[in-house]
Amino acid sequence: MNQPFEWMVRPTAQETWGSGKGLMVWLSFAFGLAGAGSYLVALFFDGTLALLISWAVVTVLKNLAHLLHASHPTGMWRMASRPGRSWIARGTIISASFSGFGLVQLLARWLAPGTVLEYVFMAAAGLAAFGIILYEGLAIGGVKAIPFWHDVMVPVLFMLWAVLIGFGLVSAVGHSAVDSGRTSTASLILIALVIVATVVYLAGARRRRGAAAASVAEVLRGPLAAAFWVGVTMIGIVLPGAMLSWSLLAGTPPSLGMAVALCACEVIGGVTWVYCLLRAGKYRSVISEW
Amino acid sequence: MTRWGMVIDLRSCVTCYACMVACKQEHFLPPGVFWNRLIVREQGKYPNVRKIAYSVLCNHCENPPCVDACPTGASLKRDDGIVIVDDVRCMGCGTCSVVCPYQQRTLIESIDQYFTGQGFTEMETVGQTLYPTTPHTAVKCVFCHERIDAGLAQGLKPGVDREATPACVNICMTKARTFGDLDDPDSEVSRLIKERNGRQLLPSEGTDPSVYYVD
Repeated sequence: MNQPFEWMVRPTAQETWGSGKGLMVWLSFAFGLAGAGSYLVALFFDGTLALLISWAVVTVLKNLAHLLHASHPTGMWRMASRPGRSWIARGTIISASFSGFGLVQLLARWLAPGTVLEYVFMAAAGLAAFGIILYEGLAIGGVKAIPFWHDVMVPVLFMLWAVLIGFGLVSAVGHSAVDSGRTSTASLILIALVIVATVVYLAGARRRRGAAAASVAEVLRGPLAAAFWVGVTMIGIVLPGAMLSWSLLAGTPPSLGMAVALCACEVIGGVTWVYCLLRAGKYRSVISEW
Repeated sequence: MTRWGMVIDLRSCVTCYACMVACKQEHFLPPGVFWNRLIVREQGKYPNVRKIAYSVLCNHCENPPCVDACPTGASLKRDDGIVIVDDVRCMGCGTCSVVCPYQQRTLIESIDQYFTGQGFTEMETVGQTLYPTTPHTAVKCVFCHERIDAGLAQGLKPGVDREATPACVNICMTKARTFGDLDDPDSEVSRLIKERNGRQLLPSEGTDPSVYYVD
């Protein structure tokens, strides 16, 4: 941890997002990740309850977190005027679109199922859900000032975690309706991809030295080590991987209880990963190039 | 076209912190809020150690990432290059603060008293009238644009006439700070940058700051 006189002389932690009131930013990104990813997977498996839950997670929880974070929420309407410049503005438009399209799609599913109306808005909501995951990854990954964040792997990891959580939710909520074998296999593949992507990401950041390497050290050995190794690795990756592997090898599909536990583990893992990412971000020393 | 900029002479700076105090006084900044700071580093190994102080402030970049990132358009760049924040539009999201590679933005959560529990002093009260600070908005150095604008209106020259020059430049006892038009090749700032190889902070960020350093 830096002394006050080392501010911006040594790599300095970003503190705006992920701590204090900035915890709302973490929650908004986490809810978006979980909700949008679940919506995408639920579309594929045609799970109505999962669609409803994931739509509510984004529309209610994610947007509530954004509102609680903004100190002057009445000015948020101005974000609609700047989609060409700001990822946050784009994300607000995409989230609002998702909420609107999703609502129409769910109503159409209830009142006029199987009609063109439902399918059109299903496609639109699905695109918007994909857009939410993409904008979250790019809003963070596009911050050039923080080397640990400015990495192509950040949006990739956002997408992987989102879809992994999606499979978990669909398996738990639509337990009796989905093919457990398919969801378990897909989840295992995604867990493997998350492991590879995380290793590539952290190794690449460490190799870049300076502030990026300091961030990696913070995650692996520093104040965030407990959250990373317990929350992300053990609960989010190892435990679900072990349960799914046992289930597939034994030829026994996951029970409802196991499916719910898997979903919870993957949500905890994804949400904790976002937290570690935000808290580990460090700025370069302003005199690092002299 | 005018582009206001500053040159800071690291060799002349004696780390008296007068620029920090002058800025706080000029704008009646609340406790804990600094628009102008000094960071100090040591160069070399004992016994050949040199202390270098860098006065850092908003760089009023030519390509400001804060302006692009601001979702409501509250951060904007004037035609003369000064980057300002419209506190009516600012919703306090902190995005500008996150994307600034120089960390020169502060999100003011509340206006604290200098003497906690004893109410605002007369100076603090006057300050809130002259330079009102809106809580939960982003604030930063504005190159004392109110002094520049008022001075120009009276036909004064910023960087030359004190009434039209930023407070931190005026107060510097060693004349380490020079202010002027970077787009004027005959200005003092342009001359200093050319003759003494003026450098910018973090040039690889691509922000093209308007604050240069010479040593």
